Amino acid sequence: MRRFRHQETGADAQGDGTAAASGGVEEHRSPGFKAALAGSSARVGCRVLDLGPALPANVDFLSRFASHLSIADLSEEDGAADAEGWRGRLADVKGPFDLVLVWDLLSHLDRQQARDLVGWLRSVARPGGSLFLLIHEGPEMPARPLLFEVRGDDQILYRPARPGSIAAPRIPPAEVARMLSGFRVEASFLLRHGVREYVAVREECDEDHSL
Amino acid sequence: MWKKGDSEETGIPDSGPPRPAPGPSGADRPPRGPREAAVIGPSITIRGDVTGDEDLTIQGRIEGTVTLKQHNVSVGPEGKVDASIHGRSVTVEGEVKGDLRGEEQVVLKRTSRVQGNIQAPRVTVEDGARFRGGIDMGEPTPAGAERPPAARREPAKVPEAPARPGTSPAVGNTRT
Repeated sequence: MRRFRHQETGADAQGDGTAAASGGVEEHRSPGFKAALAGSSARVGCRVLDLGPALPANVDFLSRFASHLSIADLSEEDGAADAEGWRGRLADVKGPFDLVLVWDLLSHLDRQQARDLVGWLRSVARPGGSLFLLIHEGPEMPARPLLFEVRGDDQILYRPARPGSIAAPRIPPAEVARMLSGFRVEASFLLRHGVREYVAVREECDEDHSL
Repeated sequence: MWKKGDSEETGIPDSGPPRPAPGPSGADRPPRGPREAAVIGPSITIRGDVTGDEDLTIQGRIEGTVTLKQHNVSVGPEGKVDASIHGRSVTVEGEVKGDLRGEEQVVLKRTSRVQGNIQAPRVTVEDGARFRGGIDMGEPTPAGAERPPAARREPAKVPEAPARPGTSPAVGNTRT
C-alpha cells in the first residue's frame, strides 16, 4: 500500500482565512483529497461512502472510478449536523468502504458524538481503506457543516449551507489523531484558511485504542 | 419494412424522454395518443405491482413495485412512491422511498427526495436533490478506468459565487 508522509505544512498556497467561516463560496486546493484519491483505497471499482449531501459534481466525479457510492447525508433540513440522530440515518448503510468522505462533520459534533461516529466508521471502513476529513482549526468556523463540491482531484469548492459562524475549534488538533481510534493518520495538511485536512487509513487489525 | 407510423399503429412508444404530465383533471385535453406516457394522476393511489408496456408518469401515490423495464418512468413533483421502480430510464421530481433501477439511467431532479438505492450505468443528481442511499454503477468502462478521475476531467463550470463581504481582496479564493 502506498504510504504518505505525515505533513505539517503550516500553510498551503491556497485559500484565505476568513471567507469559509463568514459565509462565502470559495475554492481551495486540497492536497488531502488528492492524497486520499492517490491511495490504493481509491482504486477503480472501489466502494465510496460520502457523508455529505448528494451534490451533482461529487456524484459525477466519484462515479468515474467507484463502482458503488453510498450517500448518507447527516445534515438536517436547516443544514445542521444531526448530532443526535445520525445513527438512524446510517442504519441502512452497509460497508465495507474503501474511501469514506467525512468532510468537516466531526467539527460539528461534540467529542463523544465524534468518537461514536469514528467507532461506526471503523466498523464500515475496509482495513486499508481511507478516511478524508477536515477539521476547522481557526478561531471561527461555519455554524453548519459546509457543502464540499469536488472540482478536481485536488480542488474543492466550499459552499456554506447557511450563513453564520461559531467559535472553533471544537475538537483541539491534538485530540483528533487520538479520536481516530482504529485509523492511522497518514497525512495532515494545515491549509491557510484554517482548515486541516486529514487522511487516515483503517488499520489492518484492531489494537487497543482506548484513550 | 419499417414505415413511419408503424410504432403508432402498434402502440409502441418511442424512445424519447418522458413527456410532461398533463394536468390533473384531464377534462379539457384531447384523448391520450398511443405515444404519450400513461399518467397516474395526483388523486390516484395504487397499492400493488404496476407493470406495463408504455412510458409512465406518476403524479399520484404508489405503494408496491413499478416494473417497466423497457420504458421510461417518471415521478412528477407531486408523485409519492413507496416502491421500487425499474425502468429503462427513471426520472424523479417527487418523493421516492425505495430502490430505483434504470437500464440506461436514473435522474434525480432538483425537487426530488429519494431514500433508497440506485442501480444504473448513468446517474444524474441535480443540485438541490435530496438523496440518501447507495448508487451502484457497476464497474467503470475500461476507457475511463485507467485511473481516477480528475486528472483528465474537463474543468467544471464554477457557479457564480455570491459577493463575499468581509473578504479581503488581497486574499484570493482560488489560485491556480
